[in-house]
Amino acid sequence: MTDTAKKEEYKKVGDILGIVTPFEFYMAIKPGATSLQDLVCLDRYSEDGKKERIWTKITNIELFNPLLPKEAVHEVSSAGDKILETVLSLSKEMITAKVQIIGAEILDEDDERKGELIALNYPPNPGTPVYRPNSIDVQNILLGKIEDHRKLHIGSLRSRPEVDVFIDANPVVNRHLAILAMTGAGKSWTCRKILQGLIEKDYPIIIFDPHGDYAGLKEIYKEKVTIYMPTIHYDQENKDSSLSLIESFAYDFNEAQLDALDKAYDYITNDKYYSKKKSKAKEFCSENDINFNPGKNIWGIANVFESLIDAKELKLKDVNLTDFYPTDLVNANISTLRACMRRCRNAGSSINKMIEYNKRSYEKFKAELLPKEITNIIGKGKITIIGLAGYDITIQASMVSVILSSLFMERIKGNIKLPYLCIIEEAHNFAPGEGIESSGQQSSLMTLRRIATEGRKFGVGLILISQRPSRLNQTVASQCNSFIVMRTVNPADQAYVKNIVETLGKEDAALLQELQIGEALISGQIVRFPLLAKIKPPISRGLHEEEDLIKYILDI
Amino acid sequence: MGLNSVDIQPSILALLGQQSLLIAKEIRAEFINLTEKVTNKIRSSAINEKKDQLIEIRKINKLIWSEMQGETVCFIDGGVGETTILTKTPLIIRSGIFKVITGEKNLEERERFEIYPILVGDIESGLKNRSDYSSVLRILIELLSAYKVATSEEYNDTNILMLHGPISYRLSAYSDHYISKNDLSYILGLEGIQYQNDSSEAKQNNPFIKKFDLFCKKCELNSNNEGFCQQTENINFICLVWFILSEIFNKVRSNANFKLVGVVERSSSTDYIRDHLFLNLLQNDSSILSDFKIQASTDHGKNVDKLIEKGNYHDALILSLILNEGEYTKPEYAYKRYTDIRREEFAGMSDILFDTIPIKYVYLKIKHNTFPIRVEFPALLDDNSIEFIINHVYKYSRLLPTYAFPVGLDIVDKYAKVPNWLMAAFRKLIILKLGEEAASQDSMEEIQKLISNVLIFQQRDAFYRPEA
Repeated sequence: MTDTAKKEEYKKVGDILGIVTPFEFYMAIKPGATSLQDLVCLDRYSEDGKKERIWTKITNIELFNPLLPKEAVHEVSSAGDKILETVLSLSKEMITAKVQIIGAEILDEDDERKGELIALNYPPNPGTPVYRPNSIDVQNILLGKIEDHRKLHIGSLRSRPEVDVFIDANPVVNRHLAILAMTGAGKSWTCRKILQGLIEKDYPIIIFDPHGDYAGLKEIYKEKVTIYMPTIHYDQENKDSSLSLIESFAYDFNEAQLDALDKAYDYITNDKYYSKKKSKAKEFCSENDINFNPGKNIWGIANVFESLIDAKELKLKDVNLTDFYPTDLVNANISTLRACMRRCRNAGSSINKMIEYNKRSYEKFKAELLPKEITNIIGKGKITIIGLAGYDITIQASMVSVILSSLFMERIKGNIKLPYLCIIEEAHNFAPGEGIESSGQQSSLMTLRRIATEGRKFGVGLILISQRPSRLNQTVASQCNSFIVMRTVNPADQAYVKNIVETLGKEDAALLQELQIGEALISGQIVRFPLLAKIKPPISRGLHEEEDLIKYILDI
Repeated sequence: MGLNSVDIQPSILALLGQQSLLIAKEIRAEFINLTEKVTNKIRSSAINEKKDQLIEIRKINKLIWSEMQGETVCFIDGGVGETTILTKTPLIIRSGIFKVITGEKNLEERERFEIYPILVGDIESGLKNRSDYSSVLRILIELLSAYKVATSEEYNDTNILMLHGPISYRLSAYSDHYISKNDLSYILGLEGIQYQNDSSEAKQNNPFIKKFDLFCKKCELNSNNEGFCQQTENINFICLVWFILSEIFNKVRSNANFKLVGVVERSSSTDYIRDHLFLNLLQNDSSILSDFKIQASTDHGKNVDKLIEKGNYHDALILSLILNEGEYTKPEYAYKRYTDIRREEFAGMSDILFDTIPIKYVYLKIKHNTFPIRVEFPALLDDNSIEFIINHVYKYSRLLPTYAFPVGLDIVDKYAKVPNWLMAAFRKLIILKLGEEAASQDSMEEIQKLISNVLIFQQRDAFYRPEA
């Protein structure tokens, strides 16, 4: 806050008029005395004689000139004249502000509630003057009794740039936060700004990053940040998720094919059960010039199908193929085996391309493969980024589901000792409200729903970020106790936001499409009362930060 | 014009239809056609430019705003704030001034608003039991506002002073009304008009009252009446109007750039058709009388009266069927303004008023579907000045084509209007006062007596209307 700001006196902005309720009132204001979302206040003595300051927020400003008839303005406009050149009056504008009451601050030194904001049970009187307080008092009322170690600086008040806005870190990490806005409004920027504060406090964080927006944290926080590239682990433990991934890529498996796939998966991963059969099969294939390479990956599964098809086609009467392969697989129709082989190869090809893209996205950040043992990726001062860039949404959803649920289970079991915060970018893809497209999305929704409802008990927090709020699952979103809402233009998204954010008034909602980049309506437990802030830029950059491409081309 | 124009003027057609129900049965069926016949005859005489023109119609020179820059125009309007306790009671009389300089970019310089309210309860003198008492106060405060514009330094750049209403009302109706010098001093002492207090000394030194006293001394009537006006503390209302208008007319005489104009809407006057239009018509052709089943007299004046009575006609109605948009009648003297003043002391006053503060008027049609408005101005103006005034009134009115009335008068009317909430608050205060009075009585009997006195104050009030 500047010295000039500190010296400011309270300035009168207007007087209350009309019908007043304990929740809102209207006031006549002087031109230019205040602006939308400005914090203004008035003092009064309560019925028990205690001095209190009523804090309020300007939610709307209406300007009306009762002496300028509309009809006359139409006449002047249609004739192409200038109003100033006529005898019409322009000077008697009436400015009325709609004001929302935030609460009353007890000012009595002796009162133990001093500094608290309490709800009004009786409205202020019409005719009461309303003032624009000085910046120090505004800063104090914003902060309340929030302890220093919980403060997260994220920006300044839009109406008063000299007043810093801090949010309470505890509800961010424990009570879930949703950051909602259209693309390009500054969601990731805001999230990175919040993370900046949490990183300074060494809070354990895991970020699911579908586009590489957070890779830039590595450049700033170096060793604190580890970027992991997720892998598909083909083993018995991860059987369901791995099969689900293959299914996502190889569409239209029928029941018989799914059954065959299941058996083939077991065949390559369950060494204990199938080692004898596999060594016999290897010998048999070698003797009959059949390729046999059952590696623990999608290609290995395809190879199993291929070798069995080849073996079957030899039609050797004295050979019992059940000695080499699972009985159910041997009994399967050859066309089923062929379909499975083809689908696995297609899926393998797609997955390979994605893995390649994923590697390229993160290679300059020295990304590591996600270890099988994931309890260690959470720790004090550790920022874990799961780099999902390059993968299809369905794969990403499966990965998010697998990793999040594993971590949550480990936390419940006590194998992860510390609480941690999960950042879910593009949350509407992982917790969709409707139109679930894959079993991966179904899984990630279930996982996120569980964490949203039970996470607080285990110290697992969520920050959900979405550019299509209306596609976000309402159960998951409604578990968020705080919201940061930025520019939103889509009517469906606006309606959803109005519905889900209880503290968002009609006038606040109307602001959504007017907000500039980086401006945000903040509400919920992270602030004392809803406010409009300008988010300060974070020190980190995203992988795909907006660039001036025209300039780039011109400069070549 | 004619029936075709009636057809395209639904409001006028509706009015004619309504009128037809009120007039004699014998012409009811033909009333609209007969009216059209009369107006067509008059209009066609004007169009054909015959020698025997029944009416002279003039046309507006359409001005453009860019040529009307740097003009200072003052609009004045008065009004009465009433409340209903048991009956309608006037509580506040007010007058407002809106001054505007066209083209001025600095809004503080461009516009100025003033309002002068009087609480009727603060005025002690006058015929308070007369129903037109509030009108007297309203006319007085409007004229004082006009006086201020015409004489004070702060308004000395005024080019046009426009009143909402006539420059002078028909004074014969007000000849008994008066106001004490004390009350006048109080009104003048209101912020903005003259002085700040109403002490006796201030009253004596009040330049307005001193000037008025001087005016009285020089008055011919005063010498005839042995100082009738000066011998009393009370000032006759007509004398006061005469004095104020004389001062304003002096300004008009001395300053060619200062124009005075009054604009009357919804005029129900019959002066124009009585003294000019129908008189000319019947002198030219009296056959119309038989159409209206009127027995012709040799006295044309009587025939005119009969025709007006039979058709229930008035100036605005007939002229709305004759004039086209942007047309106005030839200026005529407002003869009736100062006639029929019956008080003995005022014998000969009509002529003096007519000599000193003569008024002319025209009817001007702003839009094809609205009644013409009456525009009044000092008769001493030359043709160019009259044209200047009419053109400006037309231009200001064209900004409100539906209302068809000068927009500046609408603005000052809205500005100076006594708000409903204020009148509602006054009503509550009065009722509270009555309640307190009742509660302060010593016995229940006295309380009941007071309440019943209040309640029987108006025995024919709707409260006591028997239920069916």
